[in-house]
Amino acid sequence: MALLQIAEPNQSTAPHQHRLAVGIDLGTTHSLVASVRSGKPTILVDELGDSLLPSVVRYQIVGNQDDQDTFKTITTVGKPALAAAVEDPANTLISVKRFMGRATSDIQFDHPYTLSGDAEEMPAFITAQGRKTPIEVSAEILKTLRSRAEATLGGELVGAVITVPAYFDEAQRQATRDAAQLAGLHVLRLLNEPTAAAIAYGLDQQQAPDHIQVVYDFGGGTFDVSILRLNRGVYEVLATGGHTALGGDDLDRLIVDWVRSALHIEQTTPAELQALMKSARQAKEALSRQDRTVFAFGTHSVTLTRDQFNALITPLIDRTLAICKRVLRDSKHRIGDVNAVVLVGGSTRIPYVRDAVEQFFGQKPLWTIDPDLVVALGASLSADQLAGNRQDGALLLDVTPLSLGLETMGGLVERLIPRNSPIPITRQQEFTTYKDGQTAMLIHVLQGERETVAHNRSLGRFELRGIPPMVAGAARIQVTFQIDVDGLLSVSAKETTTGIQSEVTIKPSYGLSHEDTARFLTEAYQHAEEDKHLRSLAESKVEAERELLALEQAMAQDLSDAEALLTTDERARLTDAIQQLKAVLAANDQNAIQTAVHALKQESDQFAAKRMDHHVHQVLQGTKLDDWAAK
Amino acid sequence: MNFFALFDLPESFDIDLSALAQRYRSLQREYHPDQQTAASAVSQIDSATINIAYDTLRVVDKRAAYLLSLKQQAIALDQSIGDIDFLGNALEVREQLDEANTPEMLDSLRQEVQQWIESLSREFELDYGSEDWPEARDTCRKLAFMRRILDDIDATEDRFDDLDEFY
Repeated sequence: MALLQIAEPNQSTAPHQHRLAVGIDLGTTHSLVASVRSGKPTILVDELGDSLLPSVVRYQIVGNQDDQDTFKTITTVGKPALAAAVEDPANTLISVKRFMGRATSDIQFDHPYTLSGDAEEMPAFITAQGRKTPIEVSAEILKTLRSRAEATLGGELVGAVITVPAYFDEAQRQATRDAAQLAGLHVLRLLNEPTAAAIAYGLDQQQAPDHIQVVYDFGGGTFDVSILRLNRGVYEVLATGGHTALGGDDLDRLIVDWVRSALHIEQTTPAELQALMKSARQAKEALSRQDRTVFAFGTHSVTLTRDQFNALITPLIDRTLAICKRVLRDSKHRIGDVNAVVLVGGSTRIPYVRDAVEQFFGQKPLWTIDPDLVVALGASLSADQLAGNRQDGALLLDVTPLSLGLETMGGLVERLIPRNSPIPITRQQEFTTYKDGQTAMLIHVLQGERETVAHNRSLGRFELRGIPPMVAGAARIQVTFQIDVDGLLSVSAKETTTGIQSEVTIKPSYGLSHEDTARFLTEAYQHAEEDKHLRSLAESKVEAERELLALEQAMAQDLSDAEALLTTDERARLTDAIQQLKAVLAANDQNAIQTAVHALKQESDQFAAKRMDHHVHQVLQGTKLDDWAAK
Repeated sequence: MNFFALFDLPESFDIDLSALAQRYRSLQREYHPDQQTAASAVSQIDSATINIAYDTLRVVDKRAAYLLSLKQQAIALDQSIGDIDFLGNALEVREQLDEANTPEMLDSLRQEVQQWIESLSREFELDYGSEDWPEARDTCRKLAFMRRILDDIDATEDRFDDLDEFY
């Protein structure tokens, strides 16, 4: 049967036209792309055979910024970028996922970057190439995966399923979606990472009805746990929880802190910090295979044992288990109900993590699918189905990870959609006016679990205007909150006595800064601007060349004339100016060309005046008027 | 749309919860946005409505309130509970929750509240069966009160696990 599936690349598999769709795991430390090929989820590799693309982008410039000929911007993604992390820390952006949809004030960990942005805005990185937002950096990674996929699959993609941590909030999801759009990808779905992993495991699992499965997903930058109930291809998420700033990076930081105090390192340069982080990562990985490792930094070195490492990371691992406890509670299940626990994410390679999970759930967890690949594989299965290539696939019923509420009197939050509500979900709430003749109303939407406004994430405030003036309490304003299957929120409001509708799509209030928004718009026109510039440069060159030709002919003639018009000195200065113009013509600098043209003109104007006098003189000496009138 | 009819269940308080869950999955199989077919696209039923209906029927006090609303009797359900004895007991449970400082104490309190909910459920069934609407309304209020206590017990335990910081 397999032979029947062999087809030439680029050839349509009609009558069932296979639509090319991929699953993308946009990870903190590395990213992957997978697609279903011949019915099997497959990781797509690059030309060197690598499946993991380090989630690293380097923004470089070479040459002199004032010299159009040598100046170039170079953007590298993946392995070559990662290799430059220590040498060029400020322009080599690592673990950018931790900045996605975050406000500047949220960034409380060490990093070697220069950030710009108000406390409430998503920061931009200041690189050699200028401002780069986390969205743009993520888009570079997605573009690289997109071209890898299109080269491997031999055609344009109809869309992609992009995975996000289950515990990502509205702003983080929105930022991920924006990055995909910037990379020219059609987003079929934002899929929660643990759910994607469950799909990948679901393929080769024989399940009893009401199979309760826990997905413990400990990645490079985030931790998620989801509890699912599986029933004949229906994946019902019962509860999810996590932490969006708790991952392998944090374990590396603990090692760095330990080494700093062990070696009495007080201050580090950005390059040193990156070097320390890199060595910490290597030490952590080594300790998954061996009992001890030597950590070297400059001329110093120190031994780190596995026991010491385990003690260092215990508080963080305990924290993941506390989250598991809460999620179990939310799922209304007990540890004894759990049929299987699967491990996802690179950090679950750490033996101590596996042991802790085994002890907590009282059973051996599964890692039969590579924890680095499983999310992308699951996402590709979902993409295949959403692109319409199969009808018999799984049905995913996911939940919203965080409660949604509104600000009420006294800075308190009224919960409207509790966490772990199945999505899509629509909730309506009725409000009324509290003053006679009130015509507008402010609605403040919040996300989070705390009672007070200040302790929740503000998603945005919107104003409902045009309420007809009535006595207090007479107007009926119905506000509808809708969370779609991607976990994204939209809000609309209606005054029900008159039917005034006000549609609002939530834009997180700590989104991009005005500066970056403006830049996004300008850059959209940048290509058009570049074209204009090139055209004007070409025009200047043509004009200068035409002038040079005429001048050189005149000079040649002057030299052959019995009575030269130019003095030796004048001729030398003119020749000099000509050489200068010729030199800049080879480069593509319009300003330099114009300056040289101007310098030459001062010399040649004198020559032209002399020639004019000479002509007039000749005419007066009796040459025919027609001779020069025709000129 | 009658939620009981949507889930092929008789309009009663005592329902088969596993049949409810099963019907929920088969409804989503048909109407979830990922499963859109030409037939389901024009249907009045959408995935979000199924989710709301499922939640309404699954949670006891919501189911009770919904049954009352179907009988046009869901009046003033947010008013305070009239039963003085119950209020005395409720106050005691609240105090116990405030004083609980170990997961074990919370667990025993949880069991106590669950027993309350079970006996209130039986009471509601009787009130509803005999069409004693004022009593049924009061029992429905008590059920909602006890469920909120259960939620608060969970929230307290979250704090024990140090998860109450800025999410």
